[in-house]
Amino acid sequence: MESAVSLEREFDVVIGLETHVQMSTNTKMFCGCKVEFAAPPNTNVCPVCLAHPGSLPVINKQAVEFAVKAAISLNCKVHNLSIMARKNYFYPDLPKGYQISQYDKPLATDGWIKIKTENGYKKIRIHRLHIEEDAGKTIHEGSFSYVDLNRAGTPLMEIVTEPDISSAEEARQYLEKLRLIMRYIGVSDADMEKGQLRCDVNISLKPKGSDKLGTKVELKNINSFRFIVKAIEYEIERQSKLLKKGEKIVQETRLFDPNSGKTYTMRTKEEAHDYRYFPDPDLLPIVVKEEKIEEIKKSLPELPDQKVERYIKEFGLTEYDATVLASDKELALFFEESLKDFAENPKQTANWILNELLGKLNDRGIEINKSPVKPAHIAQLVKLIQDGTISGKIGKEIFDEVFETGKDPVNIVEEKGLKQISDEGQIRQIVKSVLEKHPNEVQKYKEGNTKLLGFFVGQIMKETKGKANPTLVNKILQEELG
Amino acid sequence: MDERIVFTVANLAKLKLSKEEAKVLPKQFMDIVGFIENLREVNTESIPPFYELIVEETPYREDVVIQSLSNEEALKNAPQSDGGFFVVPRVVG
Repeated sequence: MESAVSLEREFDVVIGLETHVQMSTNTKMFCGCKVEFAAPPNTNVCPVCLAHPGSLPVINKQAVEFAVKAAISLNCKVHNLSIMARKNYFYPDLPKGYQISQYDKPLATDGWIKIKTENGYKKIRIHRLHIEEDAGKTIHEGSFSYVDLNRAGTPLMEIVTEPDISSAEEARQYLEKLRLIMRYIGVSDADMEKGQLRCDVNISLKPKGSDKLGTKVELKNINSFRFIVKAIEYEIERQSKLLKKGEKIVQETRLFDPNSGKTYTMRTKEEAHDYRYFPDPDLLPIVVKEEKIEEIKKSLPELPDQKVERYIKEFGLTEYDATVLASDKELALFFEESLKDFAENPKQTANWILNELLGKLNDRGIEINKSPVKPAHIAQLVKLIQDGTISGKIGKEIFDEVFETGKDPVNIVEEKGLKQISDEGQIRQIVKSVLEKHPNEVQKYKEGNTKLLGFFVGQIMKETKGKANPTLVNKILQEELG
Repeated sequence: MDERIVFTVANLAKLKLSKEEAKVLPKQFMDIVGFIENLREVNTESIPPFYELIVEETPYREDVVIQSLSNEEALKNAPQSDGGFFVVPRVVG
């Protein structure tokens, strides 16, 4: 079978994503029940989320603020007035017989997320962002279904893109960016494994350049970034194979099976859904005034794109390094904390974090916020090297020791006498004694084998246990070898 | 409006209809729809849709946890329960 990537060149792939993001509020959307992952079944429930007759929903203020925050961060237009609507259908995980959602008056519309593709940056437009409640969970066993309503009523944002995504890779980029933004602004942990970020994919194919849209297939039930890529790739292969044979694509909902890596037709219901939306008469409009929008806008932290830009401009980092640092809020914070103690060489600070620290943390499976090496340690190390107290090579040894012991680099230098030798006279003496010990090499060097310079440097470093200032060693060596 | 639509609507509302009921309902539906149609005669040109009449903003709750029901209380009225769950006839194949 041809690869999805090569097929993306033959066909235009048109993808739209519909993402549900669970807001990290303490309580549910319309009642004071706790939002809690993996609690014993039906222990975070009350008359409102159990749909007892006569109970009334009251909107969680924090949830609205979170959704506004998210909407602004996704460059959306936040509407001053939006309406909660009932989406009617019967399913036991939704005891009211309807889900409270938003329909023709969503909280926000017309935003975008910037992603990076091989052809540069691309904006994925966001069609709308609305607030709704989650349903409960059902487990099916034998002739029964077991219903747990702890999750029923959990505040969600539904974020729908325009069909602007044209590959599995772009879909992944979009989702990673979305997750990152949600985490930066603190409105959701957006952990896919915990179902805090869930994604449905709409995908169709059309011959390259054709302006006639292909038939759309919806993919559901995909719960990891890896699976989203796999499901889309499989679907591109499946649909293009059919199209090449001149067959038609059936408009349907398909489920992704992680075990086989394939998608399967979900049994279609006999009756097409007719949700008969109408404004929920139990709830008045959500009003978000301009002043409130401005206030929230001002309270927003620096977003990932802004951080990358600033790191490049202000600190002279490469785009790659800036992007890696900004790709994790905690990591960016670590970097910025390190600079607070020593800001003279941000590039070196970034290098130590990205090359030494991250590698070691990944090896040991440690998260950045549990790192035994603290921002202050990195600052000290960079400073010690910058002012010539130690060499970069010794710096690495010290780094390893800090990682194991959590000791201050300054103290390690003191304790172990690792201070760099920068005294010219002292170095010259060592250089001279090394050259005396190796007359043959000196002879060869003078005959033109300049590669031997490295050998001499090595010998000197061995003598000084790596403590000699490398710049001085080079300078003096060249002088002595004349 | 025919019996087919009546059955569709009944199905969406999970109602069971006898053939006899389904026979009289199309006319009743049409009567109701016809009655509502009268509203179209009212000139609403300068009046915004009702939800834009900002009578009042919805009241909000602070995001503070309130003691939920106990599991026993929650399940008290359930016709069937097991292991803390509500139990219903299987809903998927």
